[in-house]
Amino acid sequence: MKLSPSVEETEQYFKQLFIDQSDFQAKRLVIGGTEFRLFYFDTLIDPSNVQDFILKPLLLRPQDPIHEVVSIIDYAETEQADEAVHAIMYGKTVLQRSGESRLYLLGADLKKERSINIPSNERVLRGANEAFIENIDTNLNLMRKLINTTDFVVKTYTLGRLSQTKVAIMYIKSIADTSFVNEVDRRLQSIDIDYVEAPGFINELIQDQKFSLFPQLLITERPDRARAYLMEGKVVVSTAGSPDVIITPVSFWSFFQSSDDYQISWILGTIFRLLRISCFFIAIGLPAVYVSVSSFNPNLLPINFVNTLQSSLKYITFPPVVEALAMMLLLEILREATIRLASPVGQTIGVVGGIVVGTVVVQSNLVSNTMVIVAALTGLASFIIPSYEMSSAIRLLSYPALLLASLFGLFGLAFFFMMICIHLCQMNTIGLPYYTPPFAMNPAKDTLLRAPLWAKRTRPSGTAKANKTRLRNPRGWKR
Amino acid sequence: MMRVIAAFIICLLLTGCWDQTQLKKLLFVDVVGLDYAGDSKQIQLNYVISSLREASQGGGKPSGLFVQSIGGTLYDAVNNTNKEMPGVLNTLETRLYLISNRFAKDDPLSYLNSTAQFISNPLYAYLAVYDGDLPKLLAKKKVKNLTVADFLVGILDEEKKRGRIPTNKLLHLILGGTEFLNDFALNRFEPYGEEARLAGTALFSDGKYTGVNLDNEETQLAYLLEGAKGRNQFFFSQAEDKKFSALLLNAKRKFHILSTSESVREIIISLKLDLKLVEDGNGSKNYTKKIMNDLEKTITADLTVKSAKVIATLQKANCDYLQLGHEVAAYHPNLYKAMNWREQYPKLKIKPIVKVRILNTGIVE
Amino acid sequence: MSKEETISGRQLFVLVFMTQLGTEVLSLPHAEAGIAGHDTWLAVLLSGLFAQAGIVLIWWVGSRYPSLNFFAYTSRIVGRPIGACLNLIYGCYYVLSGFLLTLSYSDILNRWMYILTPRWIITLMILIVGGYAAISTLKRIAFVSQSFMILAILGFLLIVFSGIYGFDIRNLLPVLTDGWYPVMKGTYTAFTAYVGYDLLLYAYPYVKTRSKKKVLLAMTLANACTAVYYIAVCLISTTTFGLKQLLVIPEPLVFILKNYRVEVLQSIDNLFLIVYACIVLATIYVYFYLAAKAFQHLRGSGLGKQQMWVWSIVVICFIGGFFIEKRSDIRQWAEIQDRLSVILVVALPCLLLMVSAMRGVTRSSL
Repeated sequence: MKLSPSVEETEQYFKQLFIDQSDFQAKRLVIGGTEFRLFYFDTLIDPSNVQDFILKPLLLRPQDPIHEVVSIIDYAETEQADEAVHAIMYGKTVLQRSGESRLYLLGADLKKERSINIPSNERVLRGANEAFIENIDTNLNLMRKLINTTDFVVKTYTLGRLSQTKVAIMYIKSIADTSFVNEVDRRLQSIDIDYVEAPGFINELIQDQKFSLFPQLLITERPDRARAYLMEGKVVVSTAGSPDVIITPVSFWSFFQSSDDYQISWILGTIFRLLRISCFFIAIGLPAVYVSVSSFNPNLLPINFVNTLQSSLKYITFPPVVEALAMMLLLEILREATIRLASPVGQTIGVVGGIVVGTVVVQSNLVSNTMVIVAALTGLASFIIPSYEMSSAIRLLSYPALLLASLFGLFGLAFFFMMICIHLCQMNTIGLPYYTPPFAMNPAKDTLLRAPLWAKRTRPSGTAKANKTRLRNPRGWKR
Repeated sequence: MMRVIAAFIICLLLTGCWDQTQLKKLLFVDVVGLDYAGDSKQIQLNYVISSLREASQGGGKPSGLFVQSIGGTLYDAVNNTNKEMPGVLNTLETRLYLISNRFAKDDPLSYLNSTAQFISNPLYAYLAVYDGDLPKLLAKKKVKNLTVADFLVGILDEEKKRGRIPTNKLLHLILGGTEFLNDFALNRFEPYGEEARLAGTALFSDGKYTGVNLDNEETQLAYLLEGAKGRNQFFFSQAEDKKFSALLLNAKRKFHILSTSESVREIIISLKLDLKLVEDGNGSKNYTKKIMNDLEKTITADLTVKSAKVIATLQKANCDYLQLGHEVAAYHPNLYKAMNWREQYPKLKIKPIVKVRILNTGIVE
Repeated sequence: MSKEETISGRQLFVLVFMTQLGTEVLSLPHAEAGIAGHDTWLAVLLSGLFAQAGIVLIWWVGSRYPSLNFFAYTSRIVGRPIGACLNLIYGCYYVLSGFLLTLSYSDILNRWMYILTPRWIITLMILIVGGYAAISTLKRIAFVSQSFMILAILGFLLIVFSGIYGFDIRNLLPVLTDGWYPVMKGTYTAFTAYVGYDLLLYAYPYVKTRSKKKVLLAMTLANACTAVYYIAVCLISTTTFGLKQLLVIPEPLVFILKNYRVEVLQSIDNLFLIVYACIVLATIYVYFYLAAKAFQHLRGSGLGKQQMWVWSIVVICFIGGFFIEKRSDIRQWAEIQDRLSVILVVALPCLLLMVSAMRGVTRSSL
């Protein structure tokens, strides 16, 4: 809608639009005979800023061009009323001088943000201790400071029909393959929803497989981690209101990587990586192995071992499957309880769960000693996985594994693992294979093993097709 | 797809579990003793079932339960036991098959062949002969503060590790045997006071006990002639009222078949032994080179005589434990085809040549 | 028809290697013992060489039509109706092969581990995994095979190290006791163990290597690895077992693995039989996949969807499983399949090569 030069009319227009909004203000000012109107939400603006940088200068020079008068960087002009409406909603102060059919959009919004904290979900021993926060501008600021190149591109959108959330995608122009960037772009643009809850909604709306338990997008709260992936040609999606960013396209192996791996010797890094991957198998398969050994193939264990196992089961009424299910359920309840409860109480839960339940359940012959060990190991193994999404998926997968093992023993377990493997092989993320076999000489050299930096001369071929060279002249000082 | 799988799994859950067993109900047969019942041809089966009792919070008493049953075949006998006691009898963890003397003499392997049908049976179980009252031995609760099973298997395991007795795994003997000729020497236990002890080997020819035995020392020598490795085996020998103790470091054995175009003339078994001398009964004095050479000669002579005796015993029993027949068949197939090995073996000229070197005298000079 | 993703030479190697390995790993020593005796390894080696000749042949045929797969160029060579017939025959052959493999593996499981579990359930589980893998593209199948290959290598190490228990080289001697005849006969039996390299018929145009020679190289390496695998298995079986035992033990490897005994683990045979599922499945899903592709090529523009074909094959195999219950029946069918494979894998490509050479004109017009 075109604006009229009359301030009254404009005021009328805005008032009608914001008729129910009690915090909308239309401030009348008359300075040196000229009539001004200020439109704003008083809950969104910073009054002192308005006072100091808009009103004060205006009082001095009411007739001069506005952009010369106000000392505010965030300055815009518009002749469109709806544009001004958006600006007001965002927290801008809108100014109109009587007789001009244009509005000045002045950014004097109240910035309520918490300070940058230590990452709480992805703790590391070495490396940066900054985490993203809810404010997208701060997040972009963090990223910009980490990557000082003109190739670093930030594109922003607004998503959410009602919430109008700001979403930014970041990538490095010279590395990232344009087809992936465009694909991410296309998928994000296609989102048409009331509001965006990041990262959950975006995650669900842009991932390829609808029915997969495995996380397909990596979520992180660490700027240094986001940078590492950007350098591999990946795309980072940051959303206003969320301290987590989404990284895509990532492979299965990314969920076993941690920033720590790259701070320590590559040998240690490799060993820890292997530990995590073996924990993947332990967390899925250990209860199932326990059940199949105790009820299908006790002959896998030598007689002394079997006798010990047998004696611990002697007075247990439940079959091993029920034992296992009960203990795993208990573990899951404890985990959920500790997350939901306030942290001082959480400690108590640990004591109750670990000591009281653990001992009493064995002493009362409800669950065998061995099963308690198995349950504890399974739980620990799943928590070792750096990604929360992956670790939850793994813990959930151990239930079907357990059921199949209770029906078919080890063959059931093998069947389950084969199905998982095939499922992983068939998965895609943004058109790229999600899982590549670890021994297929993956050029990333960062799957089962964390290859030394000097051996990783090329970037992963999937995402960085054109610009492959990562490392020129590794350890060149030696020559 | 997912729905199909889910439906499938639910169907399976409703039908129950087929091959599931309950570990707590399993009775693990540890030692199987085979004998004839009385004077009949019925098999008398004696088992020792091992379990750990009173296990709680890190403790536990290993115990063995003795069960006896009689039947026409192994399966029949097992079947009869099932009616006499609850629990699921199984051979998943069997470690030793013990056969009695008279059972051994009467083609024991034809009965034992059926053990190959036990699908989950670990066929690494030992086979040994007991020259005495089998049920009496197996029924003992404790021998030397161990269960009978642990006692017998323990002796075999340790001696095998020391390289002093041949290993006889069931798998190597049944169904015709892994060797060319099914001649072997089974470890033999004999009663010793109230208990039992290892007493050399019993010689088998074509899967049947010949009734001839080797004593412990002969067994070790026969085992070396058969090609055992040096594993610190202990040697004791006595010649011209001198007593030596030595430990074997390396052993190397070779067969030489001397033949004419029609027949095998002679087989020479050369055995090279490297010893570590531990004591020679001469008190403390330094070993000079000459003394060492003399010692080597005495020991060589002593061992040559003993080996010749072992070979003579083997030949007399017609037990080709050294698998010379295989050697001839492999390297002189035409000669082997022309001869009847079983008949000619006892008459063959077989000569052992032992060569002893004393490499060192341990950690004292 | 969905577009095929290209595979690398390395992936071709893995695919062919895993397809060639099948139930023969377990059964070959027993089957050959009755024919070639001590000289099993020689027969296996010889048939490996024959398979190599077959590979060169297929590579040759393929290189005449570098942009088309076998099922697409059959009709180019012999015309539409006959070509469609050929595709049908190949499709049926692959279904039969996958079916028999499934049956014989479930039979092994049924005899060795799952006595009371109905066989149809085990068959169904194998078929589901096989079908699920077969619905994807060649590249994804290669991914699966690459993942499974770790287990095949693990199995190989287990087998090789089990050889140290009671290894007697004299069991191999004397060589060629009864002359070459039994060995040649054994070569025929062992040849089926190598079948699976015919995957190249289909895969040839989709392999992305620097030159087409590399394709041949990858195939040769795969064949050589298979040969090493089989020969090792046969050598270990014949050297650890007496001939008499081998004749009555259908799966000697399982017995050998029973010998393993570590402090906390014994009876590795059971574990091996489970791990072995991967080796067998890697063959089964490739066969199902090829069958589906063959059926799809019944019409030039593509007939039906790959998924539909794969799942109908699975259903047919599942139903078929109820009709073949006796072990001797499986063997009988396997013999028919043996003959078929010699015809379809060796004779027919040879014939097609000759026909296409005679109609050399078509080649230049492509």
